[in-house]
Amino acid sequence: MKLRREERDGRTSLLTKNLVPGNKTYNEDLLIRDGVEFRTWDPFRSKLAAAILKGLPDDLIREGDKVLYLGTSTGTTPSHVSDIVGESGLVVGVEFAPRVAREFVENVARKRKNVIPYVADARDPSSYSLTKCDVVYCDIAQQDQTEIAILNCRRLLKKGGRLLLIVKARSIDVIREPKDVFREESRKLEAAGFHVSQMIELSPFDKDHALIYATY
Amino acid sequence: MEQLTIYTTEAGSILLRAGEAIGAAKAASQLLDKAKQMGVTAVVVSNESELSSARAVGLEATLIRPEDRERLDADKIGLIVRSRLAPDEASALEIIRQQSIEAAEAVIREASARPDLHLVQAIQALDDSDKFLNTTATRVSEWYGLHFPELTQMMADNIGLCRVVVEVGRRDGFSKENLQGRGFTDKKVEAILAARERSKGGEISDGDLGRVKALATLALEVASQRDRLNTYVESMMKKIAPNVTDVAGATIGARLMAKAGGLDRLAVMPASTIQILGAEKALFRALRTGAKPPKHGILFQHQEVHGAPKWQRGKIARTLANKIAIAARIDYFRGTEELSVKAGLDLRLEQIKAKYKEPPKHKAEREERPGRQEGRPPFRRPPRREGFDRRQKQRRR
Repeated sequence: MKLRREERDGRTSLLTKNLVPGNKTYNEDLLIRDGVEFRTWDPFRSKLAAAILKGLPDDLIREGDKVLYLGTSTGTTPSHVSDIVGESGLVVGVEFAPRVAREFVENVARKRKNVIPYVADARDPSSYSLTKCDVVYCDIAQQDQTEIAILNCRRLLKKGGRLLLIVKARSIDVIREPKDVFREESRKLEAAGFHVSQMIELSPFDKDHALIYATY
Repeated sequence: MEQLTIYTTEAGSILLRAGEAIGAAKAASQLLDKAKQMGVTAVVVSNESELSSARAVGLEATLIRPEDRERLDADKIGLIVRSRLAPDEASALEIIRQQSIEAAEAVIREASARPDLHLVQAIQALDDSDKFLNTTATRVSEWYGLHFPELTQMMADNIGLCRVVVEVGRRDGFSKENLQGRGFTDKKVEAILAARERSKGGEISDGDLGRVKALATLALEVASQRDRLNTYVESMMKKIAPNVTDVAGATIGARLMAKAGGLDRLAVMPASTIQILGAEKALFRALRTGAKPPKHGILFQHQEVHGAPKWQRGKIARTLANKIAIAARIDYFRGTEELSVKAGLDLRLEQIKAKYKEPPKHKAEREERPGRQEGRPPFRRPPRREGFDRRQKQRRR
């Protein structure tokens, strides 16, 4: 297993097996477990880690999976996804903003053979269409983020594939009650033919955020 | 007549017949020749440059349809392997990865060279310097005040105080000669010298005075750095956004640009957004609670706004924002200076000042207008418009 849980005094911490031993992506700790190097995965810095701690199944991203990752930012979470899918897997990372993409390319894509970076607009999937994926992970703070995620799934997600959508309530509507926003986005996915399995609010790790897990 | 497709990938170009690869080469041009030898008369190609090179060798050429392209893209890796441009999937991916990294870095490099982004950094450095200057000069005033409080009381300008501290130092070092030429009136010089005689300040050791002087020197250094930055911002703004500079002034224009994240973003912003840039907190409070929305954000710093009587400010800020929006668009898309924008602004400001010379009458004195509810309705977010998408525009020069 590339993902490891550890219980210590009632606290769960997550670790992923380092794909590039000795290399740090941000200032995470490197720990040796059974002679293998793992990296600590901080839920306050990574919404996916937060969701897993709050009940998202561990095995939605699996070894060997192809993952389309929209909105990599500086690449903290993508680096852990790259750990999990391992050498036989693939992470196609898309980021629109050059400033943060710089760090993503430098610290993640250049160092990890299973990561392919694109500085591109997630509204235009033709510029990074490589292959159908098992998982689409979408974390873009846009008003129409759900529509963008659906567009990408139609084009690049295998039938039966999994969508992990981070909903940032404040990006969609500043005044509406976050819970209503989450429900609304869920409905949009259902209407587009997805089956929504889980909706996880990410507090206390992130305010007004939720992760929606749906299958296509 | 058979029609072949040329599909170009990171690893090379692939010749397809009915979706199956029948040939491959590093460059599309080689495949075009090959197709011609095979007696092909028409090809489908995947980009504009292939279109013209195909026509150049006398082939009929059309661009690939998006849906066909999508189908090929989904099988890109398989196609690369089957046409032997790479021995296996892993190597195909590695070729694509290297290409993508290079392409990504090229985009980043190009974006990092934009002059307006440098300007954004400069204005932020200017604001940082101001902050630092204020705190440090205040600290010097407090510290030196232990030794000579009367002087710090009498000098409103902290930077001037820093200069005096560095150049004169101790209380008993003050004299008519070294106070003259600093913009003090004779009366003030007298007062300072008198205060020195019966100062409530304590003695100060050489060590402490040395520290205060060092701090004052630092503040002066930052002050001159700040002035240089200011000059730089002004000259850069004239180059990059002459119209915005004309309408809003260099510093305010640069601040708006910084807030928007570049000239391109400012150019596609609605004027109503520009009007309240920098007042986000008040805006969201208004949206949440239905309180009065802000009339101005950064624009408040414009002298036409903060210098105007209160009841005119909203109107002036709105006009100013309208004109800045126009100016930013001219700067970004046309890049020439148009005096008419400033002229239009001046004209409208004249009208506002004339028409609304008097403060609005109190509600009670207004004539009753039938059919209108008392008070204004709470502020609500306007409906979202399908508008100009910043990301789909082509820059025209």
